[in-house]
Amino acid sequence: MSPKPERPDPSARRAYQPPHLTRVHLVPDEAVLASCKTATTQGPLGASAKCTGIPALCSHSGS
Amino acid sequence: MAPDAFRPLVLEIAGLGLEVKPAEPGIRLVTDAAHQPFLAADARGDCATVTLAPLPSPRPAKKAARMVFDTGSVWRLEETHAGHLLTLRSPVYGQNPYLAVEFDRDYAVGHGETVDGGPHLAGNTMHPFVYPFDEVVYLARLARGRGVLVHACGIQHRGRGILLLGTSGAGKSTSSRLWAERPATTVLSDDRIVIRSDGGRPRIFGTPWHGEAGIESPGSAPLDAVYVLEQAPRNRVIDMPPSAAVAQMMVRAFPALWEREGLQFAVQFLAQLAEQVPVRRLQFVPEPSAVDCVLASLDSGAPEAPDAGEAA
Repeated sequence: MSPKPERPDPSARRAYQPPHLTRVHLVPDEAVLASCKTATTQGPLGASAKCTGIPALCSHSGS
Repeated sequence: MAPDAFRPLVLEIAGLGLEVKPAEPGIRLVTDAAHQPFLAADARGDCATVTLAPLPSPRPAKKAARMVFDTGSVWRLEETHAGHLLTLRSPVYGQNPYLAVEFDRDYAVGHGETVDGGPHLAGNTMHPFVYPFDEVVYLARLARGRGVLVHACGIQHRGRGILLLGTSGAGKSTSSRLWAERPATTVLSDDRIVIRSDGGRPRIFGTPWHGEAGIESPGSAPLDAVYVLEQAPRNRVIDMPPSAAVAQMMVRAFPALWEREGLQFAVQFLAQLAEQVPVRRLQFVPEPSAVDCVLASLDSGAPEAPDAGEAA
């Protein structure tokens, strides 16, 4: 005799969630690594200076 | 100078290597203090190799077939016959790139050049791991099914991994400082964390790309819970349904926005993560009590139900 297949426990199933749209806010410069991260990160000005220094190599900064 | 001063540098982050070799002898490779704990003795396992040649002055980059992604700022990615061309530019060096590397399609091998007097090369001293070069290469390689880089502070506390996600100003560095004061705690990074699958379970890894707190560690931990940071007048943990959790994680991740497969991978990876570990909103005040609030929720679960209409 073959064993009965186990039925999933109904209480273990997640409740149905209807599809819905979620609007989220994206920070484009951060998302694409377009900005220098911090004043203490070695950036495109080179090892002797920081990328958020003067003159600024990048037009943006963020962390 | 010791003979091994001219050896290649091998960066190892989240078990992934990036080896950089100079194309000419007599060039010494160095790195900043933040990257040093992440240096490996040799290239091993899953490791990309980039060879960089010195360039006396900026020159136009190789003609590419198609622009793949232009950040409008420092870096661009173009498609070539053999793979991808990554170029880095700055107004300081004019319109031509100060660094150009052509990679194969898998970003496993790259050959390029960098301007002498630029960010990566000064005379016979080369600084290969200057922002954003190494981070972009890792981002591209992670997107090939390896993992996801996220904007987060990562904590290893008594062997458990806690991820505090947040964009700039959300409180990652502040949180890192608060957690760093706790015993049996290592802050893996105050700004960038890699998440990879380890035997089917998510694991978080430290990176050298730190934030304002300047904290980084090459450690890792199995991920126990994710919190999306939100500064508020009082501490409060709120559960998020998986669909909202994925959306909130995606805007705090660095997927390969330029390729469909990379984006799909990131969404699927984070969707699976949201099924495996709790993802919660953490409304917090920048005080030690915020750490206690997280620790209390780790074992007891989120005390409050999701809000209607999740939005960033």
